Amino acid sequence: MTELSGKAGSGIAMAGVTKQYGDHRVLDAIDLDVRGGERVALIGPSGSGKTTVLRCIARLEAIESGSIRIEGHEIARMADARSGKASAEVAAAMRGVGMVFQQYNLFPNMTVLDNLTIAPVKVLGVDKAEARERAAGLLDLVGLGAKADAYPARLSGGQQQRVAIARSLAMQPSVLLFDEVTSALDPELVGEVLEVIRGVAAQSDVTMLIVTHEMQFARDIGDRVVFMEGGSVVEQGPPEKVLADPENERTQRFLRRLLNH
Amino acid sequence: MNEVVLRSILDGVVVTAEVVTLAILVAAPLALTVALARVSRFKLVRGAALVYVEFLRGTSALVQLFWVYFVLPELGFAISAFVAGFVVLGVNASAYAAEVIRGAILAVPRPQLEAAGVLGLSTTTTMSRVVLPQAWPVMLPALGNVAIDVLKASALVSLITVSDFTREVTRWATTGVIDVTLAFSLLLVGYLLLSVPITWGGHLLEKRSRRHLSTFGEG
Ligand SMILES: Nc1ncnc2c1ncn2[C@@H]1O[C@H](COP(=O)(O)OP(=O)(O)O)[C@@H](O)[C@H]1O
Ligand SMILES: [Mg+2]
Repeated sequence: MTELSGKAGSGIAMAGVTKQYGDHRVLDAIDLDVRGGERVALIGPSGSGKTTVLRCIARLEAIESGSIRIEGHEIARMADARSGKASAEVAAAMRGVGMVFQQYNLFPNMTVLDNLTIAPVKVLGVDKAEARERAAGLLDLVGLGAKADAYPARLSGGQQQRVAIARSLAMQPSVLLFDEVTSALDPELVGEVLEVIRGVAAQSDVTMLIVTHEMQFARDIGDRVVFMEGGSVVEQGPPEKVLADPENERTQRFLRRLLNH
Repeated sequence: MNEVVLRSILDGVVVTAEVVTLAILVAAPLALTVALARVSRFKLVRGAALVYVEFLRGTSALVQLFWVYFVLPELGFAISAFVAGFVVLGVNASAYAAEVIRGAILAVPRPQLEAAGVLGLSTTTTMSRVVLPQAWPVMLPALGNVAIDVLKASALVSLITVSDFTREVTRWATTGVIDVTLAFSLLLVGYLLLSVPITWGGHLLEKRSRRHLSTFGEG
């Protein structure tokens, strides 16, 4: 697959990361590693800090203390830093990090194709024609080759999310973060998006950290499942172990509640 | 009404249209610059832009006009009444327009900035390709109002001898050539008619700018 030349690096390494909103400690000295090429499903009750973990890795949030490394480069935005602006070195490391949001966040003022080409052209300096060609390939990959000239408002939620996945792939990331990418979708559209993610996982060796409430999906795609609660990791291990036979009492309670739903 | 009167009033209408058009052309780049300065990362830049806005909003357009026309020549900068007129109106309007643009910029949903940030887009690219295009339809109605305000305020230039619509009509009224009721009714209707293309143009631009943002409408 030429479109998905995802390079396996050394992945993500979070160590002792503490994040507070005011007095509220949302991440409590959390440690979380995702090896290069590994697929980790991050699960946990609402408010446990899953989104915050992804946002800290994506440098959308500053942290109070700890370390976050991407492919070995320290990238954490520290709350006490004088400027939130990334150094050239950090910016270079962050180029390898893509994120797919719950609400897609496509740029509504651009066509689907422009959504996919703007970053490669403006950030990586890819030639326009080449960027368009690659974007067309990625749209085919997510099954939306015919929608290149459409504006996002004309697409269904599932289609928009598939475009958002293609947009993140256009930057040839080595790390992809997914934040409950199907929870804003109507139930009948969930499948097509998960299918696309499965396809990307099968055809590349991109490191993936996936927050999801879809336990079957977590089991299928995850090399490992991490359960977090109250801002720290409670239990982790192979999906079949954590999801079917969890050791920790809090994990058991969480999964039981999901089943009774 | 004889032909000389009619001709001079029509000339006045043209002068008013010119003053308003030129004032808007002066205001647009200033307003955009000041709005961007108002949302700058740098405190000093933000502060300077705020002073600009507050100074212009805090002193009246009329006083600004008098100051530029009567005081600047004293300081050695002669300036024609016409130029003083559209420049002052334009600079004055830029303060109000800057605040409109700033508000529209701040109304762009934060997740849009985050998506741009995660893609690595620079501040400049994010502003020019993501934020401003989305802020544009939001700011248009209020910018239309600012443009109408410029039209209404343009009558002030008659007070510094510019032969605009107001000055020509009042000239003939005060010399008794045309009836006062007719004169001021003419002004009332005239300014209303002049505001129509501004309102209409604003609506057209707004409709155009929104065409891709909704699920409906022509593609
Ligand atoms: N911007 C914010 N300001 C204050 N508190 C926040 C903010 N964002 C998240 N939180 C709080 O942080 C905690 C963790 O949130 P989040 O990471 O979104 O959890 P999850 O994604 O696991 O549901 C929650 O208690 C939430 O209320
Ligand atoms: Mg969340």
